[in-house]
Amino acid sequence: MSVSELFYKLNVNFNYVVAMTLFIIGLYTLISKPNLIKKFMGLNIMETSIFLFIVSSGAIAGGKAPIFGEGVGPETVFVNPIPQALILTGIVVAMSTTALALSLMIKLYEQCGTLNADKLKELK
Amino acid sequence: MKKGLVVFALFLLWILLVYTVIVLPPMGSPENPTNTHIIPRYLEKGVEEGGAHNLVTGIILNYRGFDTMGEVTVIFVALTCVLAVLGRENILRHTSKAEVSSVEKSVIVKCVVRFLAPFIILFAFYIILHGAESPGGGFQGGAILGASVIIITLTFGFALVAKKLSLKYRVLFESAGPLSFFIAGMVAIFCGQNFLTYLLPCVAHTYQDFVRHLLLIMVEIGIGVGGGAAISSIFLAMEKVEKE
Amino acid sequence: MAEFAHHCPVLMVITFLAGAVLTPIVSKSKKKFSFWWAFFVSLLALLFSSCAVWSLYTKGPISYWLGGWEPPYGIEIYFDYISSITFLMTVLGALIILYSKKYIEHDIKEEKLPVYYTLVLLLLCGMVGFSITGDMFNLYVFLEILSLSGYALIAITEEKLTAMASFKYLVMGAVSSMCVLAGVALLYNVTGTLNMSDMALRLQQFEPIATSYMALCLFVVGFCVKAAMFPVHVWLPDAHALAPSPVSALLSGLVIKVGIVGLLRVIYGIYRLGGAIDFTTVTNFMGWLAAITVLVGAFFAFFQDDIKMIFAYSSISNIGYIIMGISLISFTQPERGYLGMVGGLIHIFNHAIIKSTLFLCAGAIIYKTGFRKLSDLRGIGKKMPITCGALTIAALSIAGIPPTAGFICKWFIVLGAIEFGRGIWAAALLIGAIFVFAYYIKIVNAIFFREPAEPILEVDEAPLSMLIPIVILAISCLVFGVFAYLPLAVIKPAAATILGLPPTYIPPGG
Repeated sequence: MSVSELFYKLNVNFNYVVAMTLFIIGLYTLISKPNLIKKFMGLNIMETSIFLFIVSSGAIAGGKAPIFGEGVGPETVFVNPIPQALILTGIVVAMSTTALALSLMIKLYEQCGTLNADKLKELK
Repeated sequence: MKKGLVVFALFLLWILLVYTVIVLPPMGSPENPTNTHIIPRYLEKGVEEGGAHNLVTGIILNYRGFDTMGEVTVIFVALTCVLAVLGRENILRHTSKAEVSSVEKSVIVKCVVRFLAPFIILFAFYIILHGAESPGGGFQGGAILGASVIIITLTFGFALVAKKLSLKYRVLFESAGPLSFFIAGMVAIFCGQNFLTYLLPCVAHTYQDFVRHLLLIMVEIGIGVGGGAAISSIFLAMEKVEKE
Repeated sequence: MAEFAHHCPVLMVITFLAGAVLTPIVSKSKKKFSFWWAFFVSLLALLFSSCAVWSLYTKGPISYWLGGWEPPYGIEIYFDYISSITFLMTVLGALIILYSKKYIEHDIKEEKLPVYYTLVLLLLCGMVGFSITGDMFNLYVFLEILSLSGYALIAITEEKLTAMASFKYLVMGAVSSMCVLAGVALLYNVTGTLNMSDMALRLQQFEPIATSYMALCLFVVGFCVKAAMFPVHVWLPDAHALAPSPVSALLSGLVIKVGIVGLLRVIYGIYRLGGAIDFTTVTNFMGWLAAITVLVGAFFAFFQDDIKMIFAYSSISNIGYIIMGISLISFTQPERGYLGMVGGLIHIFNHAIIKSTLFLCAGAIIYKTGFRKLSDLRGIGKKMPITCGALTIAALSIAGIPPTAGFICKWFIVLGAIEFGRGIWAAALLIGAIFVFAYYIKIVNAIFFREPAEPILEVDEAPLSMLIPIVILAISCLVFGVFAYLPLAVIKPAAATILGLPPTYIPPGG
């Protein structure tokens, strides 16, 4: 593909590119930060990036929220409701994982006295 | 050195991922496969079949109800996991140093929370019950309900809330979400339909719509109350007294 | 009756779910009652699953439309041959719950008993739902249910380091779930549907092959972390060794198999059926990694002293066998992968039984003595003959000694690898088998033929509620080895349909 075509595609699918960039930023945070809480923040960034990707894939230019009611005619364009339903589930799952991880960190801190991954390795 | 290697590997992965997404069909175009395959039917008949003006609610509760059942179960799983790791909050342990919080909350904060709390809870129920017509639904309302419990706990202290939200009832509320789906689904099976069918042919034709609304509202309230109770229980379980 | 069988798959999930949700309510005043409730629920689910499997083998796959919506519009439950693993899950679930009664009362505080049984039932609910669903997003939801309850079950005891093992598992598991979700998202973007069979059909109509390939890679990475394959196996040894023994049996016997079920669903259910892209590069890569996994697992197991650690590393090695078996596939000639597929599937079944027996026996020994090091357990065989006899049968079985169940699967996988022209994989498998044989001989030698140490002398046999599951499982290790045609009769049509051959397919030369 030529350079102009590449820029055209980058521009058109800009949301997707941002989502993937966030995914990598999250992965980098997860790998490189020693603090467990920061590691988990990285994980949350990754989750959010995928939600962004899913929601973007259901977008339609100029579309309205898919709610029927006043001010809706036959020619109104609606965005795709499925991705919105999916990420609602995704958000709940992310919240649950976070709750469990935080409670594990509380227990870990009680048991080992630190949340630093490098120190935890030595402790073992 | 190691860090440089990680950054380099991630950079390669980034290029790969970006390449895979830019070859996708252009975002926002109505001709995308996501917007042409299943959606036309939902837009055409969704309101009538799903029983809600808000299509997202219709999909969550009706077309993809089984997903939502899994989702409320995930909230319940999260609560059970937190209880497995940390254990329930212990009121007895707290009574001795119940209200000894490090900073005394100011009168203004207490007054404002006392004044706002009923309205927050009312708003939560509005969101839960109005999810079929406008933005909102069980999960959103449940989150607000849980948040109201959290803000009251932060202002008035742990002991008061833990005592008022007695475990005797909270245990029932926590399982409300999955249980309401279970009841709605079993009603359908006993009527000879597939699990989670809301439009029941065994009910007289004129009442079918009414029964469907009843079931959908029951499920919405179950999701909201269950979610709210689970969030507040998770919050209360994480509240720990410093070891003496 | 037919009507009832039609509802059975969904009733299985619902029974576990409602049972789990009701556990804290029914056992509010009497905590110990939660065991009887959980046991009752698992027996009920066993009834439904046997009914569903019976219907599968007499009348063919069950397609169940939830809410009455036809497939691409609603969620479909598709109970096919891969889903028959739910029978194994419910049987093992019931036996392990029975075993937990004494073990868990001893290990955790009484107020946490209902929480433990709730989590076990939720874990089973997640696994069963994962294996029967026909919808990609639903698959992800059930994957999360089972993963979350698995993480928490490891950290349920107060022992040191459990929280760390659980956290390690959680971080790797969460990243792998994320990969699976990203794969679902990419495929949804390409095809516009979430139903598996619809996705397979629509995958070939759309252009961006790079995206479908990336989605496949993400799925493979995600499920391989769940299955603990070589470069991403690091979470497994700690998690499986530090968990309470019945939980180790569940995790090692069933939860890591869920990753394999996911691989089968995605590779064979979507990509092979769709036929849009040639995935043999990916499966070949998986096969090479599996060969390394076999060696790494067997090698590290040899140097462990903690018996549960040995079994945990041996699980890694066995996952290598299974993945090697299922990745022997040729895109153009599906018959060539038949023997390997039969071997892989039958090893899923046998390894679940054998590894549960091993972990339950180890649990019974730890329950009675409090020791877990092999050097402390010398001569235990004379004091706990039934438990150690079962342990020996299972050990021989996993080493692949002929009259036991472990032999037949390795035989099929080796034959499949040689026929496929992968002599090196077969060699890796045989070298691994020699290591396995060596370390299980080490165990058997230590527990039977050494003089007992001082603290072992007062120990007696484990209680009955622990012995019943152990003995049942040990006998089935023998039975499925001697009468190997029993599991083969069930596995062969499954392997044939996964590869796209007719269920009655017979390979040339028998």
